[in-house]
Amino acid sequence: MISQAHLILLVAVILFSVGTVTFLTKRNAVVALMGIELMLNGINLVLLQAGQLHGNAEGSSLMLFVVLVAAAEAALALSIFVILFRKNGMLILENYRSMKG
Amino acid sequence: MNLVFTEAPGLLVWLASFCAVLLSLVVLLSANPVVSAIALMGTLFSTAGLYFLIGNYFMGSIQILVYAGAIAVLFVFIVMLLDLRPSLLRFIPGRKIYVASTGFAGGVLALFLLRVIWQQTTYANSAAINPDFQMTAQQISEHFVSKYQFAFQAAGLLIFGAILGAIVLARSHLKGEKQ
Repeated sequence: MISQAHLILLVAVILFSVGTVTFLTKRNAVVALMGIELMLNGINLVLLQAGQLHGNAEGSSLMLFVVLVAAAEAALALSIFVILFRKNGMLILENYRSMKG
Repeated sequence: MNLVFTEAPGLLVWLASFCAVLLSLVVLLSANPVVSAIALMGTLFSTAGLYFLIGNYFMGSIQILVYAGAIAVLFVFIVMLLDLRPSLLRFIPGRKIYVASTGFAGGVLALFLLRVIWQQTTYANSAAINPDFQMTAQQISEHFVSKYQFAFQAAGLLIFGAILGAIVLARSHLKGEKQ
């Protein structure tokens, strides 16, 4: 039988992997960004579970920084998406191949 | 094995874990961006429930306030504003092999991470493990004014830069329309 700590770590790993696959395979730019949010969520879950096991506030402090960076990233990326949509009328990722170096 | 790792999960933990995994799969497999955004919100709420069940009430509230309350609502707002229609091709087209191999690589990544975590937790130092720990906001604040002081200031600068960037992006769009 699986223990609670292991179950939560398992959920975190599944969230991270599903987020990775979402980010790599989705066609829509907004949904690809949702994949990044899923990955960050899995990381937060591991941080909190580890901090709880070790009995100190390190995990929670690091998680606050992750939340902060995620908020800044989402705000900027979504405003860039709005501008791209106004310019081109779509947010399909394979149409932006010209941006690769 | 440590004592912590023999405690069986309660019914609510199973429920929240099941909801989180199921809704994250909906984010991946749904063709409609609105459904994806709502499912993302549900995933964030389920993980907030997991934080509460771990015993970290402060972080659970932060998750609901900031993630589910601000970031997920921002996603739903953008999806509705831009009128992103559901597409028949939900994944990158013309590359079935790419999508399939990415899914396979995601599975391999999950197995690898699981193996690392299992090893680390099985051989963890028992003396360092404190199952009766209760996290409070005061402990985080003490970290922020002592150990993570520089990182805290840098994070404030990052948020300031993000605000400025968002303003500049909005203004540049206005200027482009006038011309």
